[in-house]
Amino acid sequence: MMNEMTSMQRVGTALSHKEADRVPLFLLFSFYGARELNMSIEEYFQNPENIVTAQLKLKEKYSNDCLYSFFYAAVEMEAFGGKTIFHKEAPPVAGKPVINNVEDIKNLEVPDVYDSPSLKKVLTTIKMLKEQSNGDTPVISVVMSPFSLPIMQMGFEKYLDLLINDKENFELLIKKNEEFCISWANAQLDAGATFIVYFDPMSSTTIIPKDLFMTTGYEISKRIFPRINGPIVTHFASGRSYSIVDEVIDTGASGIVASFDDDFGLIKEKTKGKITLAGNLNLISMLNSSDKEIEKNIRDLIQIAASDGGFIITDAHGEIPWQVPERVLLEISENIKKWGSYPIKG
Amino acid sequence: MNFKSALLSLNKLEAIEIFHNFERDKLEQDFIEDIMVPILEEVGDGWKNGEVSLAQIYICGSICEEIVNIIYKPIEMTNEAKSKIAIVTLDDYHSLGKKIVYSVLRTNKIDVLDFGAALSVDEVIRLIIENNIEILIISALMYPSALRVKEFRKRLIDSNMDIKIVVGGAPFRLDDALWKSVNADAMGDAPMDTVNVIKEMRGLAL
Repeated sequence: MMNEMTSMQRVGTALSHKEADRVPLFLLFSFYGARELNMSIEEYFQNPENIVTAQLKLKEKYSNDCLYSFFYAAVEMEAFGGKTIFHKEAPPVAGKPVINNVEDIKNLEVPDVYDSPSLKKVLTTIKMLKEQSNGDTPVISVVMSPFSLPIMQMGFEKYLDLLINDKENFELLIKKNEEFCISWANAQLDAGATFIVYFDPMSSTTIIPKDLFMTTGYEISKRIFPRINGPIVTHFASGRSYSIVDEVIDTGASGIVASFDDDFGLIKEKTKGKITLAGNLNLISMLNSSDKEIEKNIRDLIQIAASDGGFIITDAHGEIPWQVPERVLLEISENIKKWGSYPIKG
Repeated sequence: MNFKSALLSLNKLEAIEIFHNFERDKLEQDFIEDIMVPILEEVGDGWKNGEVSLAQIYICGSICEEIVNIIYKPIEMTNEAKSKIAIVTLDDYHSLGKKIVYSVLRTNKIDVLDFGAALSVDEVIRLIIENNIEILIISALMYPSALRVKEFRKRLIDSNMDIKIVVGGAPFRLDDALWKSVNADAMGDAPMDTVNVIKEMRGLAL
């Protein structure tokens, strides 16, 4: 067994499709940090120091291999003039849409990320996380894809209607969102993010059929990824992606997060040696799992996907639900150390 | 192109054209029974096994509802509403799932009141009393909204109100024991499941 690596070494080795000391673990703690610090979610997100404190504590507690600078998806909506609704024990959600008709699309201005107080808080968080991690732990930052952002900007129904029935204004909106997405991703990389998670649930085949993805989400990714100055991991927020894995590889993404609705083994076959596969925990279904069930879950994932590296264990949703007890997270972490050390035991 | 392929290729104009061509030769109600309802069953099965996407289900439901509205006048939210069935999302603005289920229920000639999205437990209880609701369908995308059903059930019990609760949405698909733990009466995995549950609850009189 090799000496313990830093998280940065471990993740870098996995992303190079080599076997590290053990399988990396990404527990993507966002609003869960408020639970750790025993404060309200709204209060938690007021001050970047809260997020940094929580991230470092949670990394230590669960042997997490990343620091997550993501606040909540609606933080991008705040840059567009939208509001965020904070609930107790739930992720913050976007308030009323900022686009209610076609005129609003035409009049929509692309925000300057450095003029947005909310986005500047995220950038401050990234800088602080990078400084305090001493380069030992990757800092993961998030952008919403230009193709998925309209779900919040317009509401899902109106957006589907636009996508299907109004090509001209759909393309106009996407063009504006692309400019925002590129500038936001690069600002976060400049602030110290190690790589960008590109949240694109709209592209998954859970949401749209593949032939529509080929003329929309796929084309958008191919256009913008070369303009983002760092590695990108494509995340479908638990949406299916098996039938579009080859296309995701073609976009130049460094990683893909799978859904528990996909056959993980089949996805591993498609990704092996080509793109890092992350997944495939379903923490909602694991809330009440016994220790034995958690151990089996982790062992099964490792058996399917860990050989030859190129694999990171993470939850398929993209953020840890508030209701997940410490016990479950500790069991996940411990079982990765037990079963995920290379070479993997049969 | 047949009606099903028009729906699945998101081709609304073609789908409505096919209905109008059918209408010329046969009873329009037969279109619902013989064409739309079986297709919605197939589409629902496709959704469950990953062959059909949410956008396709939404368009299918939306087009079918539009056709039903050509044939039947939609029910309105008034005190005179005859329907004892309502649909809502609790503290959750995500209403696409609710819209889809509503459309499919209407296609199956089940009158249902749409209470709207992101209502609080108090607001829903008020509407249930005002409208004399016997069955409430709750759609959820967010896990905390799904948990709100348990609180809602407790409030019903405390108020001596006995109504049936049918739930559906992503959290219930992710954890198939969740509907029981929040004290719902049933769960619909796909829109047609909800239809069948409602029919069973109301007996074959529907």
